[in-house]
Amino acid sequence: MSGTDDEDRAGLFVLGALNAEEMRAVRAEADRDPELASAIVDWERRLTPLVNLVPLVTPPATLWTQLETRLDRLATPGAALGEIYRPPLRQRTRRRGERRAVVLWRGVAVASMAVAAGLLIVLLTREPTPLPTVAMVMPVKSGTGGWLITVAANGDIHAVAQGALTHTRDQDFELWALPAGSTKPVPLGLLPTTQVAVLSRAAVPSEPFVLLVSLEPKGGSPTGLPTGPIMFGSAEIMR
Amino acid sequence: MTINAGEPGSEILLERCAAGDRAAFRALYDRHSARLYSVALRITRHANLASDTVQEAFIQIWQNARLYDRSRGAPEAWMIGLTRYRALDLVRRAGPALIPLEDQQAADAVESLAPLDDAADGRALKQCLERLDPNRRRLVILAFVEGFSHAELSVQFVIPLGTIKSTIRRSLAALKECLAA
Repeated sequence: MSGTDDEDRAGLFVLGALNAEEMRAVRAEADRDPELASAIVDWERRLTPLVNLVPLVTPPATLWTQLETRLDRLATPGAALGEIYRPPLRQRTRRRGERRAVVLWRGVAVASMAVAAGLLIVLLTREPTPLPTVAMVMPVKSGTGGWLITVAANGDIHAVAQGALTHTRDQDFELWALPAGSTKPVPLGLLPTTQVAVLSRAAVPSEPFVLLVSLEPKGGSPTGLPTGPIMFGSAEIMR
Repeated sequence: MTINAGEPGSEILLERCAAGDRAAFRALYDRHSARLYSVALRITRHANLASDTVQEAFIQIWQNARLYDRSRGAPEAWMIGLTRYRALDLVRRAGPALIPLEDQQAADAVESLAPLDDAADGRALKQCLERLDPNRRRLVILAFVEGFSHAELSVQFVIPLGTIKSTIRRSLAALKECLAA
């Protein structure tokens, strides 16, 4: 790849203007291409001061307590590093070994510290754990409201009610996952009409699926399948 | 971010984190969490998603503290990068249509570049941004601060996608040239 292409792609990557596929492609290529990795570091230096345009917001106190709980579960930093980064580090070690052999063979000097640092940055900006899946569940026909749904890697679902959501006292909204190619939705739990609910360890399909919400009798569908109208739905979700 | 005299710098705190020092990690959190949370909140536009993003970023910081290399820049820039990329991944996965561009704070962010005066390396960037045409400057800032993709900017400004892409590419090239001068 030419230097100009590297510059363009590195700048756009750091700027945040790329779509998901383009971001993945730049990450993957930067892991192989020291020039691109170095260009990303340079663009980070140039643009990072822009964060000062965002007014500071204090995070909720619960963020630290959650973080402490996570840390308690982790082993020492070194052990955790090995656990989380084993695949990339093995690949990196192998590639470095191969590169070193080529370099020695050709009698060329070892790569510069800047390039090594650049490679490290790209390694460190890779995802350490699976990202939660996020989707909006919106009215399928008319109406208002919906839910912001976050599906964690362990199957926990956080459902945040958005806008005006109403049903009668003897009804509940029930969340379903419909796997691609299936006609049988899987029940995931009852949804709140205000604030947040956590549906623990829900049976989220591993294949692509859409989320549906039906209006059910109080306590949820008695049959294990939707009995009321499907009122809300999401776009197809890939995990 | 203010560091009082006598307090260890963030590099020192990272070194201590690498040795498993939880007190150093707490100090690092106290010093940088508001900045990281603000950045994540601006991009994800949702408090829960911002909290998740920052939590994961700090886990990465704890786990990778010993790999931090000062040659790549200040510790805060490294931590901001971890947070921004994670937030961008999250909103890109949700898709542009799924997280509505509901707030209008975006406009506020581009009106004044004064906060750059007090930031490290901010003054030169401010001067170079001011040399850009205002519309170009707006696109660059919205992409970085709000995490707007080419496609989202195209929809928001009702400008063809190809024009958005070429305009941003030219703007970045101009910024790079100006900053190198």
